[in-house]
Amino acid sequence: MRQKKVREFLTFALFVFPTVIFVLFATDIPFVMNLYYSVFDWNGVGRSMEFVGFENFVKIFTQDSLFWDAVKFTLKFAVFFVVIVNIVSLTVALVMAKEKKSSSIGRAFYYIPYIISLTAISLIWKFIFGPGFEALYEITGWEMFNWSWVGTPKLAFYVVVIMAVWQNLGFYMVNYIAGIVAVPKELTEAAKIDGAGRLQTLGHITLPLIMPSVSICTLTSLTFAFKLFDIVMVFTKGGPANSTVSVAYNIYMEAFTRNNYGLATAKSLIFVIFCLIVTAIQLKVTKSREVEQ
Amino acid sequence: MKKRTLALLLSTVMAASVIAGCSGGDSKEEKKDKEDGGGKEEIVLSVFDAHAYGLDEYDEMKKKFEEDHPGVKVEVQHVSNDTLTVLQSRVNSGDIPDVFDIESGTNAKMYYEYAYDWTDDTDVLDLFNEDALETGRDDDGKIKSLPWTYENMGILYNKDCFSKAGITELPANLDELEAACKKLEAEGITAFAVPAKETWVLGQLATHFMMDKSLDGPGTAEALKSGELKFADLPNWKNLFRFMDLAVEYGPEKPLEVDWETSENMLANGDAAMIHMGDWCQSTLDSFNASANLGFLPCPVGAGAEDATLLSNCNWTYIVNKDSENLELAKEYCQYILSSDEGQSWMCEAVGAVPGCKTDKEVTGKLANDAKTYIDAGETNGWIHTVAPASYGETCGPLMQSYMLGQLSADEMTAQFQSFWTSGQ
Repeated sequence: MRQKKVREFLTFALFVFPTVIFVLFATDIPFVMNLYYSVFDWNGVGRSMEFVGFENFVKIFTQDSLFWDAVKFTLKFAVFFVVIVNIVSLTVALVMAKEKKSSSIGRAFYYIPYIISLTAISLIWKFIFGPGFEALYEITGWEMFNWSWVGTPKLAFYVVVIMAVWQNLGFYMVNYIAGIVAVPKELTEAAKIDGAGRLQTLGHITLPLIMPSVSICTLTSLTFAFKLFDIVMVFTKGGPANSTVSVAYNIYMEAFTRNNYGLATAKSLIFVIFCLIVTAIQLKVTKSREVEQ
Repeated sequence: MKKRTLALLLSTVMAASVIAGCSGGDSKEEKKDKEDGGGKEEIVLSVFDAHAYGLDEYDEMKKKFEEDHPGVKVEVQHVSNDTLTVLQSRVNSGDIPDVFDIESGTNAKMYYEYAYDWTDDTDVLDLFNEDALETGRDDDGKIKSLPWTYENMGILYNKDCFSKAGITELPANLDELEAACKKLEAEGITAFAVPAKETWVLGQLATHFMMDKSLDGPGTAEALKSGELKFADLPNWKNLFRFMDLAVEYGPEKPLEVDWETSENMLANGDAAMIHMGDWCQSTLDSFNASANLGFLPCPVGAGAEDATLLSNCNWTYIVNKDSENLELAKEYCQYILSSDEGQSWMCEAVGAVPGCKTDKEVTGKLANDAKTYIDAGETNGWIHTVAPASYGETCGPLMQSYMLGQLSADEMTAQFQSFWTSGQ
């Protein structure tokens, strides 16, 4: 009996430890070091650090309006991104879940943006918002193609949302397709025989049964939105006029261009705590809606 | 049972490969070292370089050094994007390069505690121009880094556009600049393509209007930081707003979407007559149109030509790590790339800039030569943005964008500049 337990533990360890080591060195240990740095005033380079206690945290809450602008931007982005990407990818998934040749081509199409590099993506969108829109304006004469999308703070927000949705759509679509395919055929067929329309089947059969997919997708999209960094870094650089500075980008700038390493780690701590709370609530809400199959 | 054994085996292999992957890099290098050195230990000099110009010539120069020093291998990392971030993470992880390259002023000063002190090596210092060495001086008056090349910035203009529009005299104040813009517009040429998307360019542009010629660059910056000099009292400061207004009015339709590449492309191909930039972009301009007829227009900030500014500085500077295991070799390499015959050809011919060391070589860059006429005439001033508080461009550039978008008034923008400079907020 004991031997069996030991063996089970060994098997468990064999599979889990490599990952644990990675997570430990890439996430957990840096996190603990963050705790340490956050109470120091340090420029990120020098050999000496000055202990300042909670001064960094006080500074964030009293003087740092740019950080709170970034928080507002990130929250607004999170709402838009989570809602849009989930609705759109679910819709696409419902169409693409059918086993036809055309749908496998379609799936590939939607998935490609997710695997190409961000530098390429930013070049594509630079072209679309530049010469692409110019040409469309000449053809259609619609004023919206003549707007300065990337150069106006209000529109630049939507640029970031559109790019993020476009890039990540494929990932969520695949998740939803996996859920939809797993819905038992006899249930949908039975509903059909009972005279349920398409919308009724969707609302009463499919949606409740793919709730696990929904909760995974909303969770991952929410964390993606909170961590938003790469698109801002590569495409908008936080501009124009700081209108697209996300929290992660603000922290990066604080650490590497403003050289306030301690302040930056303090900010990241505050944000980690905030993210933990929000995701915990989100998980609780969606989990309560999942049905047992 | 068989399946289980197989699974165990596979996962062991995977785990092993993961662990091996972590240490793989080192063991390979060790092996190579042993082979190359033929039993003797090879010395590896690690060098960090921030430039993306003249790379082939740099490699040749490096090879020559290795040939002259058998058993020495020079490993160079060229990082032209996110330079500061990469350097900072290397220093943080204890992997400090033996020789590294950084912008002088505020950035370099952060690293001076790692820097070798050149003050007593007068035979080395004699190889350089005195004003170039000044950029490597720390607060205690010690020389902590050696200069690379002079870089000059101001307004770059396309001479062909100007002659097409019938502008014969360079505008020396804003009234004349506006008149020139009107003439250009009448010819259907976009007068300005200031890269307003780039906050660093806007930051640089603003420094022209801070310049107080009785103090020069670093002096002006000091006086602004200490609060002795107030932005609202600067004689030419209000002209910055008129300049930005002109840049928007006579600029492209979507001014804030212009990045540095677009801006340089438009200038080189004659689609725009003026941009704000420096001679460091010579090779990019050449790649867009090698036959472009370009020149420097000193920034018209005040009443006349004597107020107009062309800002010149030995911007990049090389630091030798004082704790390097091969300090003497690192010093020699640093001196070699910055002042030897090979180093001079790299800077003068491949990069095309005027080096900080004394030289008789011809400089190939057209803009650098153009700037040289102003330097020789003593009409240039030092840079402000490199000695400004850290993140000056990233913080103040967006403020200027806000003004150009109409979100901030001139007074509000001035007040925010002031508070950043005096309190760093």
